[in-house]
Amino acid sequence: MSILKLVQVTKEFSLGERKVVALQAVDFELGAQEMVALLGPSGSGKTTLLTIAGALQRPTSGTVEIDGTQIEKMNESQLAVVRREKVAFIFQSYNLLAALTALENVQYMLELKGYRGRHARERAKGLLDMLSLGHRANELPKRLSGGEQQRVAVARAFASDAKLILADEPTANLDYERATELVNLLKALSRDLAIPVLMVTHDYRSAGHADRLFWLEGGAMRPVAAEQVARMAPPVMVRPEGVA
Amino acid sequence: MSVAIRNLAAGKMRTLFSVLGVAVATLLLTFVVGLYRGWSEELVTYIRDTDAQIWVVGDGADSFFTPSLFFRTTLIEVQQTKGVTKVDELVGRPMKLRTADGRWDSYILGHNPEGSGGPVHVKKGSGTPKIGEIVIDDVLARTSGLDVGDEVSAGLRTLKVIGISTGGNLVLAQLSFVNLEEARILVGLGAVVNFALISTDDPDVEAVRARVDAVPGVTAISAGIFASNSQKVLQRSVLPILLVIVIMAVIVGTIVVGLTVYTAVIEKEREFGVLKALGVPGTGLLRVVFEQSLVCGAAGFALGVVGAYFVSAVAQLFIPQVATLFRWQDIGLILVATGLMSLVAGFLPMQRILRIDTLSVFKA
Repeated sequence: MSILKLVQVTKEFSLGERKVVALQAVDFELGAQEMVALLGPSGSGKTTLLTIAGALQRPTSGTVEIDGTQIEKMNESQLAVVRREKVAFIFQSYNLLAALTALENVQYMLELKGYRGRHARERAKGLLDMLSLGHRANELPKRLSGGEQQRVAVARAFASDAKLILADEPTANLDYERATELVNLLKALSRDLAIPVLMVTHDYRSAGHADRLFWLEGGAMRPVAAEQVARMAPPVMVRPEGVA
Repeated sequence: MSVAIRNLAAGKMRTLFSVLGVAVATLLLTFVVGLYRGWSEELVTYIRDTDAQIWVVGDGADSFFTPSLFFRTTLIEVQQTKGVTKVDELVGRPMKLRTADGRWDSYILGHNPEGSGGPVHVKKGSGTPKIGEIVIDDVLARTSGLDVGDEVSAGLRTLKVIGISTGGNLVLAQLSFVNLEEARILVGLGAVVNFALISTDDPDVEAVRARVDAVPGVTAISAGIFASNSQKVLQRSVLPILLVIVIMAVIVGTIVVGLTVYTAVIEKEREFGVLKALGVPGTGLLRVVFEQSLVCGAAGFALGVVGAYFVSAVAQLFIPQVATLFRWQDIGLILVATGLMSLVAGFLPMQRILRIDTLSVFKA
C-alpha cells in the first residue's frame, strides 16, 4: 500500500514573464517501511517535489495523495491539518525552536498531536533515549552539536505519529560519519515504525543506504541505481577520499 | 508547555523592556486615576463629614468653590423656617498665612466653636479655637513645618496654632479654622456670611430644604448634592487634563509592547515558519503572539500597580498635597485597559505572521 502517491504532477512558476517548469508530469509512489532518496543537481526541483509531497504547496496540475487523502484542491487551513496529522519534516538546518530544550522540542510536537503533560514528556524522553540523546535532553539547541540537533529533529519527526517523513538534505551539515549514522537511523526507524521516508539529498553516500533512488533533472524523475548515481557524479557531488 | 513564555524567557532583555513599557503606562494610569479619586474625596471630606443636612448659600452659588455671600439677617428667617432645628454660620475666604519661613495658601473658615462647621477630624491639639487662635490642616502643617504652639500671621492678625486637623485639603489650599468672631475681623465683613449649615430632626429633609430654599436671597442645597457639586468643579477643571495623560499613557504602553512583540516576531520569523510547516494553524501562531503580548501586559500591570502605590507613598512624603485613593474598581478597569493595550499591540505583528511563507524554512 502506498502512503504517498503522485500522479502526473506538474509544477510551474512564473519568474517575471518567464514560465519555469519545476516538475513535469511526475509519477511516484512511496510505500510503508520504505526509504527513498531523491537526487539531482541544484535547482532541479527536488525541494519543490518535497514541499508538494508535504502539503506545503499545491501542484499546478496532477494529483497528490497522502495516506489516502487527496490534497491538490485543499485550502491553506486544510493543508495545515494534513501536515499536522500525516506529515513530518526533517530540515537541512534542523529548525529546532531555539527557546525550547531538546526534550521540549520533541514534547511540543507531541502536544500538537494531543498528548498532554507527563505522558508527552515521558514519550519525548523515550524517543530521545532511543536516539542516544537522553543525557542531552535538557540542553538548548545552541548547546548541541549539529549531529545532535539533527537527531533531535529526527526524534521530533518520529514523535509526530506521522504517516510520512520528508527529509530535506538532512545530512548536508554533517560530516561523513554522522551523515551515515543518521541515514542508517532513518532507515531503521522507517522499517521498525513502518513510516516511509522520502529524503532529498546531494550526498550520494547517504543515498546509497536508501531502498530506492530517484534522479530528478529538468523537472523529470526517473529511478536510478546506487552505482549509476556514483558514476553521474554531478559537480555538486564530491567523492570523499578513500571512498570507493 | 508554552512556546510564548519560553520565547519571552529566551529574550530576557527585550521582555524586560516590554514589561517595563506596560509598567510605566500602568503606573501612570493608576497614579493619575488614584490622584483624581484622592483629590475628589479629599475635596469633599469636610463637606461630607460636617454635621449638617443642608447647606445654605447665596443665590447663584451651588458649591463650596463658587463665591457665596448673603446677608446675615436672612438667617433669622431661615432659623424660623419650619423643621430647622439649628443654624450655624460660616464666614471665610482664601488668605495667605505667613511665618518667618514663608507664605502658605489657606482658606480660612470662621465657625462657632459650639456649633457645626469646625474641623472634622482633629489630629493633634484642640479643634475649638478662641479669638487669636487657629487650627490648621495637617497638609499645611507638613508643607509649612508649623506645629501646635507656633504663631502664624494672617492679614494684620497674629494667631496661635492650637490644633492640627485632617480632611481639609482642598488641593490648591487647605482649610484653616478660626473662631467666628476672629473670622469677621480677618475678613472684615460683619453683615454677611458665606454659608450656613442647617440641622433638622424632621425625617423629610427634602421638604425642609425646599422651605429654606424659598427664603429670598439664599439657595438651600442638601449636603450630598452640595458635595457632589463641589466635586464637579474639580472634574470640570482637572478631568480633561487627566484624560490627556491617560490617553498618552495608553498610546505609549501600546507602542512599546507592540514594537517589542513585533521585533520578537521578526527575529523568530523562521521559527514561526517552522511551526506553520509542522501544521500549527494560523490561530495557533497568533496565540503564541498574543500570549507573549498578554504575559508582558499582565506582568507590566502588576509591576505598574505596585509601582503606583510606591510612587504615591514616596510622593506624599515630599508633597503633602498629593492625595491618592486606589479603588479596586479602578484597578479592575486599568486591568481591562492593559489587556486591551496588549491585544492591540499583538495586532501589529499579526499580519506579518500570517504572511510568513512556509517554504522559506527549506532555505539553509
